[in-house]
Amino acid sequence: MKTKPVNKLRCNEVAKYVCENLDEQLNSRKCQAIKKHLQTCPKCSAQLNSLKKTVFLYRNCATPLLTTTDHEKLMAGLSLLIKKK
Amino acid sequence: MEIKQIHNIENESELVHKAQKGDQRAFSLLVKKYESTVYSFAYKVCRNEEKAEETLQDTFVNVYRKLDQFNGKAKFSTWLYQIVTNNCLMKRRKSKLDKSSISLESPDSAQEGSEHQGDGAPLQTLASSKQTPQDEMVNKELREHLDNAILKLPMEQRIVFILRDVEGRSSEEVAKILKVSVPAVKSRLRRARVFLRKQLQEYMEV
Repeated sequence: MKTKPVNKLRCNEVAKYVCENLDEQLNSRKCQAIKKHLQTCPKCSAQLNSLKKTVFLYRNCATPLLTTTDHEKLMAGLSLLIKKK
Repeated sequence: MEIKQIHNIENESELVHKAQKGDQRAFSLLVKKYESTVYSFAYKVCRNEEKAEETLQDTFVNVYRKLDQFNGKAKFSTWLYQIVTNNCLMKRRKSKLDKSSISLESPDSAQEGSEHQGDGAPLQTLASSKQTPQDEMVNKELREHLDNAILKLPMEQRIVFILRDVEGRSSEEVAKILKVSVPAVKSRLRRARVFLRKQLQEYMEV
């Protein structure tokens, strides 16, 4: 059975691999080939950048802080539970 | 003073062990240490402060009830994430507010509806401290777009995306939290990333 050399990757394979492995610390032969492909393919490179930007937007989207009232409410509820036990 | 005490406790397992033996102070310290993590995660999943508060309460009630079942094989935080993710999934099932979510098999077809109710926190991190009214409008619009997009994701993909990409947990830990395989985590993550990227396409060229 013929196996395809990793340096001849198609863009859709690259897209799938990148979407699954973004942020993973990989150093496999395939990963090296993907990196090489990304350096020479503007389409895949742009897709990678938009993926990174998507993650960046969510990662930097602030969440509300837990207030003292929320904390007190939580502790009061738990105290009741502990007393019941 | 309590925060200092938390940091002084080098061995978390000792704290957990004490709480398991009925030490209420140790349990309170565990709550204090993790309450913000749980609340923040719950908010990121449901994008709603009220639901995040409810999830916080439910999670620590379950932690208290199940504490003796924690055997220390996994990290305490992994076990805690298991409980909070289960609560998020339960809440979705109970309230049936996830009507907009679609099956895991077809993320691209999710277009209709949203859980988003238009409230929530300001997007502090993305917003500059010296904003013009136009900046504020763009940020508000972007935040709504981010909320709407993520709420269209099926809960299973949403949780994977938040754990892996937002909370920065490893694929292996996410697999342990959700009790699925690493390839399953990667598959859900890929679908979530592709879907969200498409949803946010208009912001990519800016």
